[in-house]
Amino acid sequence: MAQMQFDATEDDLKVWLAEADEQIELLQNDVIRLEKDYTDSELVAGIFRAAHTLKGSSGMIGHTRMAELTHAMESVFGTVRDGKLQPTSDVVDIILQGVDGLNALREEVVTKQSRDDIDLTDTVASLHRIVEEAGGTMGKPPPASTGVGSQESGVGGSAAQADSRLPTPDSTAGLVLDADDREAIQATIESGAAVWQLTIDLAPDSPWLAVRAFQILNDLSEVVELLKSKPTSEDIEAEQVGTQVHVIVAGEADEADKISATAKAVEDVTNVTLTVFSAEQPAAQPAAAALPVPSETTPPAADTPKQIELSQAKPPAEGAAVPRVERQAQNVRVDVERLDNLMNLVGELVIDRNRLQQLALQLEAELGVHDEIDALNEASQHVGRITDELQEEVMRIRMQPVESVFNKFPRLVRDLARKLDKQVDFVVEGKETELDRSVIEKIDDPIIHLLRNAIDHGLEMPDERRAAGKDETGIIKLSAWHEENHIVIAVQDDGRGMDSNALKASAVRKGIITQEVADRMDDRAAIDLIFAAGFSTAAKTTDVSGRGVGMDIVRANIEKLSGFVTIETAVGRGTRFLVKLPLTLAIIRALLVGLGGQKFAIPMATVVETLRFDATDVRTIKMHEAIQLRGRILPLVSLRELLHLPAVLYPEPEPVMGMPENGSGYTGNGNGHGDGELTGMELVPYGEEPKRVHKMFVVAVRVGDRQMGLQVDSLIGETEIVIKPLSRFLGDVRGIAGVTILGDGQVAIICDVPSLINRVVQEQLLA
Amino acid sequence: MAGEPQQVVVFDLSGEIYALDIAFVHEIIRIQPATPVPGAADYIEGLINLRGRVVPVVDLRKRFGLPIRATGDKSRIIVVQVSDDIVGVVVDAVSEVITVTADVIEPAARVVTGLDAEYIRSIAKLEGHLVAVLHPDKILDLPEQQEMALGTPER
Repeated sequence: MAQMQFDATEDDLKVWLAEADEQIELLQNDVIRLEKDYTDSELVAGIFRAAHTLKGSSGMIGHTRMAELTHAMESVFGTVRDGKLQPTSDVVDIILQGVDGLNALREEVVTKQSRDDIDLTDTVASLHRIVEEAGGTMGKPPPASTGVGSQESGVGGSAAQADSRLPTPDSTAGLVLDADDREAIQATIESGAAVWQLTIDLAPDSPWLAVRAFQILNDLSEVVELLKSKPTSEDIEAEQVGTQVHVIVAGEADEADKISATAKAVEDVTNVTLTVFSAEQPAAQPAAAALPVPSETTPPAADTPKQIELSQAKPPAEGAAVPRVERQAQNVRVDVERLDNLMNLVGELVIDRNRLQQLALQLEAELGVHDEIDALNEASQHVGRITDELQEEVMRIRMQPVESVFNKFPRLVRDLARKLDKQVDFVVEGKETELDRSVIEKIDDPIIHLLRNAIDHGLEMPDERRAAGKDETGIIKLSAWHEENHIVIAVQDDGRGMDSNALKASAVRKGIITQEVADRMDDRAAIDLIFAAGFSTAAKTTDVSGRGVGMDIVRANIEKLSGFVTIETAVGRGTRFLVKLPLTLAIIRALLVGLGGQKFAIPMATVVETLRFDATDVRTIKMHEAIQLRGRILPLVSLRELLHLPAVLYPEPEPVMGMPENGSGYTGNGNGHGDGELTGMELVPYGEEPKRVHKMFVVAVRVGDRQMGLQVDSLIGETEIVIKPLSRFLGDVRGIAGVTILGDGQVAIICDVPSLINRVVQEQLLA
Repeated sequence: MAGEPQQVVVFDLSGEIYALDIAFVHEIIRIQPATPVPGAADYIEGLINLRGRVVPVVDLRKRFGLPIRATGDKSRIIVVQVSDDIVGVVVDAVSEVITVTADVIEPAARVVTGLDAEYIRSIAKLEGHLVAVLHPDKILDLPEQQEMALGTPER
């Protein structure tokens, strides 16, 4: 591994990387679309442009291998564009090899170490061969990082020399024409060509003005003849580039639109003004200003009439002028770390807001009504409102479309389908659905697993599909949408579906459940078997999905994100996995409950309602406790037991906050002291319910389509909590989603309801 | 390492004297009630709120099987920080901060103390006492903890 150096500063390289990533991703995904429909000329043009941009920018930083590779790829796309080549799967395979190469070469820019282990000569040679066999032509060779553009851009040496004679080559100034230039322009016009002056505005915050200027000249030179430019290619090389690029070009009279489109296609270009030189104009208007042309001995700086600001030569109402003002993007790049810090600070503020509000309440309770307390209340409420808004804003900033994750998948699906000889139509919907960074970073693994599973196990082989009267091409659909405070991600296939009897038989055969348990199982429980550890429905082990690795881990990972996964399936018609996730993992609403003198938080996302029952209402059904609720059976479990809490002495903690405004779902009043039954000191031994207590509090929770009642000692109230991860030091503690700091400064444990419930379900199944 | 003079915090744990390099001591606070963590190892006292940061508190006495004394007025929590990890350690008393010079420090030999030799970085001889200077990262990176995590049965 040799050290590598690039012709750009660290900051520039960062920008380069961001853009390269974008282009590589676009290349990859659009090439896969191209495989399906190569007649889409806009698609081809987009791909070509991406390769072209990459070629230019990699050449600019002196990344020779990357420039060579993109050059070869560009030529292939050019050949496709010209209709000489059909991108078959074999061709696409080689192009994707190239994309992999690009990714490897991109790494070199990150690590500054050359990947000598990667040999791309074969790939490049294959790409060249594709072009040759199709009768296409190799495009222009990639630009080198030095000597940029003097031959490329077509900005003639004489013009450059003329410029170099100017005493103050301030490259940000407008284009200056000397007598020779005007003569040349005049001659060109007389020869029947049209001459335009282009004024191209670049975004002032573009960190890559020189590269953009280079791209503009380079791209224009492929369309028209460049007569003169400011900045010149030498200026660009010296990075003497301002936010305006002035170019004089010559071409056919009807090429105005094409020219302006070419310039506009370059990134960071905010505005392009095209002004035509008519034969009279340089002679009449601008030249008039230049009439007293003195000899060259006169110092040009003091000799303004000699210099023509061509921007003034713009005809006021000329049809050829194409003023197109684009709204300048008002975006700021922010380091992710800063965003996280900001979120942490807001989190602290939320905790303190809760504390303030609680203190005000306490004061009022102790001291009665006082003006000062009123004022404190008012101030704390105001702080509360501002904090809410701040929190909402910060959350919004952190929201990202799932696109960044979804865009990785077309390639994965394509390669997998090809490997398994299956035909797949991959449909993606709802890419623009947004969710918090904290979640987005962690969802790709579970989705990859589900997609693999759908292609490998869900979809049948083409002949099987044909025999079943289906289209040979299976459909895999990945979609995302918002549902209340959640995002739902669905992975759907139109494959064979799951047969509950087959699943049961397989589980019995593998010793996961006994025949007796299987006989008792309903269909839903049988389908859920695929989440059991060591379960795999594949008749043969494949290197794609592996054996038994998968669904149990998928579910565990989704639950770690406070989400859950459900399955809908129909034999012969297909399967749909629905993953429901919270929009954020940073701040959530939670119900506080008391257990053995300690407060616990239960995420509101899983809470259906809170209930208060008489202990005599509890029934025992099939050895499990349950209560009847509106004609349905709600199985009961003790949260104390689930969490393996030891016997404790309690009176319950005082309720710390009032019930929420929208607490209509509560039948309990949140106050364990209300009717005197829970106030006594009582020793509850480990694993035994406080049976002598007549009233009991139950939190009905839902995970997927399963509901369960969690019995708690008291209901305290609903509040917003900031989720903090459990210290690494504590190891992997099951049943705990994290911790939080409450308004009174206490640390509370956040229950991981899905994992707790799954534990109960599994234990009951195996019992 | 053992040859450099260093400042150490000297504390009492079940009647024996130990020390910690002050570079790793974030602060020393009074005992405060900790929130127990269901399912965590028994030597984990629980979690405390240290100005908005949730810090686990460990009882080394339980961990090393030393006799437990009732929490008294002198009991303290030494908050230890190694890189990004921060952990509170319950001690019976903090006596002093002293500078130990190179000539009184020896690398940990097979000196008999209540602790395993692997947790002891060096031994300081002070007025006839032997003081075991603990390895802060060994305290934070508890091997039994890792075993426990690995040993957790899969669902």
